[in-house]
Formats: sequence, C-alpha cells, structure tokens
Amino acid sequence: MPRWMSSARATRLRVFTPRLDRPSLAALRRIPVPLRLLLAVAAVLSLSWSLVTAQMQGYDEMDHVAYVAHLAETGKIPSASGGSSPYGLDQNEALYGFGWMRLLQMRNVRPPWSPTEERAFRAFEERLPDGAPGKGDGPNPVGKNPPLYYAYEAIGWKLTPGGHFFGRIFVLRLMSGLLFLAMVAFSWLAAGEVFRRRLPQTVATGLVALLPMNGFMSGIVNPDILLAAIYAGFLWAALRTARLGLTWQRAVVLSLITVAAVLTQGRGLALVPVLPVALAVAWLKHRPGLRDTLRSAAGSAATLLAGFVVYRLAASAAGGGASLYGGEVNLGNSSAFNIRQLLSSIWQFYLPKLADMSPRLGPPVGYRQIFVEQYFAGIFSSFEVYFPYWVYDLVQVCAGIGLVALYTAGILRWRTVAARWAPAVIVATTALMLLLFLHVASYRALANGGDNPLVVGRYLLPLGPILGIGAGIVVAALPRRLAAGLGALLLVGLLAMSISGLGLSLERFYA
Amino acid sequence: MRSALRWRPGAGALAALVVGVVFALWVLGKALPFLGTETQATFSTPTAEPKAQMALPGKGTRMCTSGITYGPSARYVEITVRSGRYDLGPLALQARAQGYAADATVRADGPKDGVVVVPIRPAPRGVRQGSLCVVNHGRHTLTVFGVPPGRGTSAFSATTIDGKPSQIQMSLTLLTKPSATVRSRLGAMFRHASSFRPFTAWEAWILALLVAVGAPVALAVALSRAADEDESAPRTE
Repeated sequence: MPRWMSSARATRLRVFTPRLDRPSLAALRRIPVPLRLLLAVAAVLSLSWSLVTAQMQGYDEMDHVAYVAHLAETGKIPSASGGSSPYGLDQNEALYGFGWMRLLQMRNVRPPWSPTEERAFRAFEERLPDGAPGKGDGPNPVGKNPPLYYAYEAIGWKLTPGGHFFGRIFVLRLMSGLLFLAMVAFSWLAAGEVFRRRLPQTVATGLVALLPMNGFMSGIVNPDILLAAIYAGFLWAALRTARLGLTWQRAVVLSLITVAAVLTQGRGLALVPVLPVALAVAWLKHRPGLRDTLRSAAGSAATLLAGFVVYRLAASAAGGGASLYGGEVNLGNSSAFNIRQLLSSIWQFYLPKLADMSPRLGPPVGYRQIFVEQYFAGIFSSFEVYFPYWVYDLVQVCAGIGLVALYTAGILRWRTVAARWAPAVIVATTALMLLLFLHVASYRALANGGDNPLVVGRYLLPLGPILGIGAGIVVAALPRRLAAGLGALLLVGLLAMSISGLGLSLERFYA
Repeated sequence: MRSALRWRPGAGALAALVVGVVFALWVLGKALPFLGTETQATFSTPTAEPKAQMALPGKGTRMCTSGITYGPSARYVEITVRSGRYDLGPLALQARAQGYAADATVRADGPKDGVVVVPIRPAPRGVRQGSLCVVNHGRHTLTVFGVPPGRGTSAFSATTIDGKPSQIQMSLTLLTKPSATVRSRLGAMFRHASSFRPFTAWEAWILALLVAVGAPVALAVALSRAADEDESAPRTE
C-alpha cells in the first residue's frame, strides 16, 4: 500500500471513528438522558411538520420567505408599503404559476407533486437571470418586522446547496427547527432552576417539546419560533441570575437577550419591562455592593444602548422612522384609550360578561379560541387544518383542571413558594407582561377602529416554558408514583395530539 | 403467585406503562380508524374549489380548460354541475395533450346537483399543457361550477365557452381513485410530500416510523429514567 494511501486511510479512520474521549462527545454524554431523548423527539416532530405542511402554507409564510430572499440577496429589508413586486421571480412563479397561492386556505386544493411539474419548475428556474430570486422588494406586509430572524434564516438561504427555491424553503424550515431545539434546551435549563427533581423538569420540558403548536411553528418559516426560543433563553438566564447573584456579565447577557427579542418581533417589546424586574429580583436576593451594582447597571445600559442603535439602523433600512413593527406598537398616535374599557375587555376575554359591562369590542374571540383552540391544542397550516371539536372541549377541561391543580399546589405549598419568591416573581412577571402586552395591543387596535383583534394563538408561543413549569409544579406537589403517572399521561396525550395533527395535515395536503 | 399479584411498579416503570397503555389505546381507538377512513385519491387540482357558476347551454356547446397536466395516475375527472329540474347530459369529455387523447361520455341521467366523476383513459406518461373539454349534448342549459377571478385561479389555465374566453375558470379535479382508504394511500402521500423537496419517499417512511414508534418509546424511556433518578436520589422536596 502506498504511503499516501495509508495516510489517507488513517485520516479517514480518525474522522469516522468516534473517540469517546473527544471533548464534544464527552459533552454530549453529559447531557442528561431525558433531555437527549426529548430533543430527539422534538427534532423528529419538527422535521415531520416541515414535511406534511406544504411549502408557504404556514401563517404568512410566503411573506416571511420573501423577506428572507430579499434580505439574503440584496442585504435590504423589503418595504411594507412600497416596492415593485412582493415576491422574487422564482417565488412568484411557484405561487401563481404552479398553484401554491390558490392552495392557501382551500382545503380541497392540492399542491403540484408530479415529477413532470417538478422538472418544469426546475427548467423555469434555470432560465432565470442572476439576481431574480431577490427581486421582491415589496410591498410585503411583514416588511415592518425587525430583521433578526430573517438575517438568521438568510444564512440558510445563502448556504443551500444548488440554490434552488424549494430546496431553500426546506433549509429555512430546518433552521426554524434548530430554534425549536434551542427552545427545548433552554426550557430544560429554566425548569432545572426551579425544580430539584428530574421528573418535574422532564415534564416541564416535555410539554414544550410535544405541544403541537410548538412543533408546527418550528416546521414553517416564521419569526415567532425565534421569539419563543429567546423567551426560553431569557427565562433561564433570569432564573440563574436570581440564584447565583447579579454580576455585570449576567446583566449584559440578560440585556442582550432582551435586545434580541426586540430585534425579532414587535411582541419582543413585552420582555423589556421584565428585564428591570429580573435584575431587581437578583439584586434584592443577593444585595451586591455598590461597585458591583453600578457595574451591572452600566453593563445593562450599554447593551441596551447598543441595541437601540442597531434598532435605529434596522428601522432606517426598513424605510425610516417608526415603520419597524406593526399594529401592536404603532397605534400610539390614536387617542382612543379607556382603562375601564380595557379592563372590561380583558375580563370578557376570559370570563362571561357582567351585567353592567358594555360588550367587548371586536370579533367574539376569547380564551377558548385563542388559548385553547389556537395554542393548547392547535390549528395548523393557515387556519384550515384543525381537530374535531371534542378535542378542543377535552383540552379546555384539562387546562381548567390543570389551573385548579396549580392554584391548589400553590396554596398547599405556600411556604415553599414564599421561600422561593425570586423565581416565582420572575416567571409570573414574564407571563403577565406578555399577556398584558397582547391585551393592550389588541384593545388599542379595536378601540381605534380596526376590526383585527391582533391576537392569535401563536403569539402565546413564548409562554411554553412557563406552562411547562406550571405543569412541573403540579407534578412536583404529588406523591412520586402519582406524579409519574400524571406526567406520563400529560405528555403522551400531547404526543398523540401532535401525531394526529401531522396525520390531518398530511391528509389535507397530500392525499 | 401472591407476590406477583402484589407487584407494585416503581415510579419509572409506572410512567413507561402509562405511556405504553395510553398510546396503544390511542392507536387502537383513533389512529387505526383514521387510517381506515375513505378519502379521494387526488392526482391534481388544476383549478381551485368551485365557488362561481357558468351556464353551459345544450345542443353541443363546448367548455374547455387549458393548462392541465395528465399522467398515468390521472384516471378520473371530477367536475361540479347543476342541471336544475332537467335531466343531466348527455355530456362528452375530451382530454387532450401532446401525444394523448381520451374521450368519455356521461349518459343522460336524472337531475343532478353536485360532483360528477367520469373515468378517463390515463395518459401513458406525464404530460403538461393539456386541455379538457366538456360538451353538453343535452337539450337544456347546464350550470358548471368554477372559480371566480382572484387567488383561486390558475395562471396556466384558461377557460373558454365555444371558443370565447370566460372570466370564470372551470373547477376541475383529476383523481387517481374516487375513494380509497388513507392506509392504502400512505405510500402515495409520502411520495407527494417529498416532491419539490430534497427528500425521498423512503426517508419519509423512516421518519414516519420514528414518529409512530420512536417518539413514544423515547418518551417512555425519558420519563422512566427521570422518575427512577428521583427515586434513587435523596428526598429533597
């Protein structure tokens, strides 16, 4: 055997033979088995959702894809209101020529799938001039979104082998799937800050990994999955900071995550008021000295300032001024706002109208539609793939029982809650601020004459780790065997719902 | 024997047992019946769902739609019609494409209001840019359902009535079978789902196996390991 060949063989062996003492593998082995398995299940579900949902059929997915394409090809954000064409030439042909547009929300229409049509599209792509994919400069309704998620996805767009349009969508969806895995991992870490036992931590993380809407949203191109991953990361960092104490490094990390949320979605602004609360909780719990406090405050302020500069740059790239963000934020110029009406609106969202209340503004959507149907159980594709109604009824009953159980656990173990006030304050503030933000945005939109309540189930995705912690608290309060049985029942129920959703989507698009 | 009856599984075993039993019950009670439900085996939907109406007068008036892809699995044509209080038809269907021609007839029948499924001879190979014509040989005007201008129309299709362009496109579905169980269609569905993707039908089968078998097993093991870990750890909460 020539020497070069034996050398090449040795190199190959080095590459392909796993060495268990290699640092990366050792790190992998340090990941607890339950987390490894939950990550594997989440990855399988995410990939499955990306396959059973026809391309560009997720919520606003065609617009998100167009944003990524334009940003990746030109380095610019598409305009929300102007521009010559909303889509690049390849996407336009796929939507209007090959029929993906008429597929949207029409249950009896199928996407093209014959090899003849696939070859025809490939031939069309090969005739396109250079730069054609990025021509979609607007108007694109999601052009008002900040660019962080799209910049992340643009990496996948540029790196897709072959650079074919549908290959790119496949890769973009995989990139969303990676964010879902990050969300699951951060949820595990956050739950680890709350629970000392493994089972509640596993149940909390399993809920995030198996909730059908989380899997579905990770299988399409949509920035909500990044925002959810950021929330999970923030929750973990905040809980860890509260446990270990405030340092300037931790303050910077928390502020950086907040900036990332703000640069991802308008709804990321709901994290801004949580940041000072998280920092204050950590400060109150550990009472660092004046110098450390000042360094933490300075680190946080500098990070936020840098984030603001980036935001301004992104806003100017999007067409200037306050055009970044959509209706959730840009209703400030309208004057209609009545605190009493807002409180009445929130009450009627969750509970029946009281006698002295005027009817809630806008369409009749509330807890049942947004929380139960569109989030806990899920409605998929572009609102046209859904479960039978008894499933939503069952989920509503289970959610009610879960809420009562959580309340009871809180009352029975109030001493533990009081002793661990710091994580309780952080978790509750994170959830309440998001809900308050959504309610205020929805109320302002409706009070100022709009007919869109600006709240849908997927906006609740960031609540995933918090719901998981809630489920974990109930499980932790039970005797161990009962806890194991109940945790298993909850998670296998969610898995069954996820697989059902996959089956319904497969049948809707590909039967 | 008595000790076997008094067997109390540990928390980990109990968690795995609950996952296994509940998942098996779900498979038997919901998943298998779902796989046995009947569904249309669609070949393609050249135009969208019927939402508008067009009049097709009798005595040989011809309505044609272009831009249709045919193939070996396109064995039925489905259109939606209403004949009012009169008898339907007879109708002639003419499928045409490069190197392909198929004719079918719908015999005169009683009043009809709904879908009509007509078998056609399939094309020997996939061929694009074909056309389909419906000729009303009956004595009375027939209402044919179509797609109004807008998002539901196809850029490749154009509908004409006796050669004159129509704003409304004829609503049309090509079927492989009018009815088939989801189970019998799984292979085709995985093949369809992997089209326009760097993914093969075989890989889709493997993924389905991972979802249906791997995920519940992984969940059972994860919960079992977590519960066992807690049991072996000192009680701290």
